[in-house]
Amino acid sequence: MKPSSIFALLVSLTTAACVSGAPVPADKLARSESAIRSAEELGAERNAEGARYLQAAREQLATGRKFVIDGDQATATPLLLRAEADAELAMNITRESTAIADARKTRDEIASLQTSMKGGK
Amino acid sequence: MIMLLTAKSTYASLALLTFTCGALGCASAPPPRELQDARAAYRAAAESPAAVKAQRDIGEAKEALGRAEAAFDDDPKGAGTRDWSYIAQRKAHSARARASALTALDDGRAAKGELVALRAQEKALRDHELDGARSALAGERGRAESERQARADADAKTRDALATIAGMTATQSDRGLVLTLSGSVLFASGKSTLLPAAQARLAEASTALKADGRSIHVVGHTDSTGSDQTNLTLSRQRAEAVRAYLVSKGMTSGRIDAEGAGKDHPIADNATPEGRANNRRVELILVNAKP
Repeated sequence: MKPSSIFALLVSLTTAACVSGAPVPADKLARSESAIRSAEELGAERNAEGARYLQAAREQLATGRKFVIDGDQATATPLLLRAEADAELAMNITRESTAIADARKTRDEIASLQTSMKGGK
Repeated sequence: MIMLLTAKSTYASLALLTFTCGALGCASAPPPRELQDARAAYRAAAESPAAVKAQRDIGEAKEALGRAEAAFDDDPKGAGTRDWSYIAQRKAHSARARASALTALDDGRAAKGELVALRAQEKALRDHELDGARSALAGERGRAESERQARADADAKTRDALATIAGMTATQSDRGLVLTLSGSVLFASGKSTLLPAAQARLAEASTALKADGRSIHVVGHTDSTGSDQTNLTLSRQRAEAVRAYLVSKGMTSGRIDAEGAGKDHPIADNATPEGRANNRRVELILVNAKP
């Protein structure tokens, strides 16, 4: 996001809070953005299922951000929560897949080593 | 209703809630697909064997499902019901995946420990085999060296013992120690009967040969005078005569064999009388044992 966009977003959040009196979902926005970043750093895009949820998270974040800018907090909040939940799911699916693959690789190494030891190679 | 929601087991509470609502007809609309999926996902996550590893995540899913149920009670067709159902379902899946990831991490750690132990075991085994091979090699080298030394000693001893016998020379070859007796010392021209002087010398030699212990290969040679067949026959007969004499002096017959080589392996020029005299000879080869 460009600095000008961030500024505009902050102005909108402040204005929206003043106009509606409803709590500004800035923390929700930050949390969903953070969750998406974490999923990206974890390599969710390289995992088919993880990539699908990551994409859903990005789309919902983008839509939610528009509503935040428009001052529609009520519509923005569930979208941001959905985005965060999708990003976390992408993260955990990727973690699960990586951990299972690593464990399997180690088990394969054990089996291979056992075979070579039995064969006296 | 609130009392039901605060029951100790959420699963039991939800089931009871569903049953109660159904029995009383309190919810006129059936739960939306999203809520049904969220309930199923939560049940699967909470009941999974690894659920205990992701209690915090299960708790978050439970809370989201509670909000979805509350939203459904409030407005069955409202956006809140769909939103919270969606979030609850994602959180339940997320909790299950996290629990599974933690289980896999534990398994991976245990496997890595096993692998480290196995590698150490393999290395110990390899080191042990290597030590064994080194020892065997050292033993083999020692044995080979002992044998070589024993052979050298035997050669020296036999050479010393035969050095005083006139008309006999000893040389070392790849096959063993070669003792050469001049044909003129052993036989009359064209004959294969040992001369008396030759018998005396062979008798002396037999003492050293018996002590040596190696097998003896007796080979007769001629000069180039005469036909091939004649030379071959004569050389064989002379070799046989030497063999028979040594056996008569107490050498084991199985230790000695004889062959005639005719004129095929000259050691000197057949064009001169001296050369021909040198070519007429009998060799006693003390055969080295094969390693």
